Amino acid sequence: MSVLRQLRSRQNTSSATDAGTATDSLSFLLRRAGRGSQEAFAELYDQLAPMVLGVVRKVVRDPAMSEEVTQEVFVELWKLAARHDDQRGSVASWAATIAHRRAVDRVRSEQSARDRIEREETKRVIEQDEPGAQVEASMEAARVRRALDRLTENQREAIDLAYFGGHTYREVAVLLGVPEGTIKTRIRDGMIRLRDELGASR
Amino acid sequence: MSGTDLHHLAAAYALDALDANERAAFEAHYHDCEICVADVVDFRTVLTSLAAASPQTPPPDLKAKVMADIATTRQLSPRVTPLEVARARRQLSGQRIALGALAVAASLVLAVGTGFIVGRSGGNSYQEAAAEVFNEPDVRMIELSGEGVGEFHIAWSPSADKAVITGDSLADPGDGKAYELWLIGNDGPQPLGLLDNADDGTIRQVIDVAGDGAQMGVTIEPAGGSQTPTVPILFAGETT
Repeated sequence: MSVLRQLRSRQNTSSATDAGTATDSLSFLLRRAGRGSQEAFAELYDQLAPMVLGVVRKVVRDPAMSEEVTQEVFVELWKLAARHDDQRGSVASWAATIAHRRAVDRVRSEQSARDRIEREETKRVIEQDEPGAQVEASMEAARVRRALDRLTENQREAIDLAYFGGHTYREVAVLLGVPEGTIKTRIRDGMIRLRDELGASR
Repeated sequence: MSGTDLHHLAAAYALDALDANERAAFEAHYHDCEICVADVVDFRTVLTSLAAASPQTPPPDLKAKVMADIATTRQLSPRVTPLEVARARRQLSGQRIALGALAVAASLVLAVGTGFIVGRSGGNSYQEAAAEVFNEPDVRMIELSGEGVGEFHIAWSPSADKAVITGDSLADPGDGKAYELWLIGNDGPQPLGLLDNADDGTIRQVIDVAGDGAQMGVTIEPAGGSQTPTVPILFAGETT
């Protein structure tokens, strides 16, 4: 079962997390970490590690390799701490971007596109009847689920395979047997819809 | 690829769903395109929500590993603009610049002396060639900075037409890719050659430098090298 479908099919049993306050404190912690505070970085780790490991694990899948990549991601965040630009997104978004990029680069360097496509096809057959993986029942998950409900199945599938599957849009086109242009459009339209639903900056 | 096509890749770019060539083409375009920058920031915010919606509890020992790693990892300085560099240079006395150059020279010599490079591109021949460059009276130290991960130092002797280049803590350039050094002068960027990075993210190399230029830069190129640099230029520094 796809990750996005799992999210979407869960009942809305949310517990409160305050995203606004968390964002402010992340910015503050990162500024201190950027000036060399290991203590601040340790707090930053506590707040970001579950999300970073979550996204890396979805893409990389192998647990040991996921931890290795997560470790690399945090070393990179430490190195680059002084260079984060608030104008280009929140601290969480910056960390998620670096984590996803690292995870994708790792799987693409380990396996050829053909191997990854074959593995994805096998996985899709095997996993169809598995129960949903553990999904954090949070406000954030509920909000994401509602937004995902607004996508077409085709859009959701394309975004899921690209983001959590770590596939290029060309690979997604091969996997689904549809033209590349169609996948590009599904990804773009789906992302614009999600942006509108989740109320990103504009 | 036209500008309009590139705009339409913003979502796929944010998803890391472009192949390496398209990613490079988009990155060359989007930093100067307000629409694309805004789109990428927004799409990344959306994806952060997706990522945050399925967290995983990290194993307890992972934090200790990360903290041990960062304790021995140097942070990169905040990004500075060329204007700020120019201003800082004007404020520095000649003496302090000379001292700074000596410090860089010392770190380069240290790198030579610790034998990092044995077994790579001729080991001792590198050390001898590097020592010759350092002995030239006109050797100048160039510190490169930029958005690349890791650091480069260069010692260039124009009279010997040679430069020593050291790289440390560098990111893997990727399959079929290599770092390439450029001399950037009035005629635009001239390729100085491919750099041979070791698996541990280091480079120790002596390179022939013909010509003159106000800047040196490093990019990631296809393994065969390029005649024009693939943007972004990951590291750059002024040669004087």
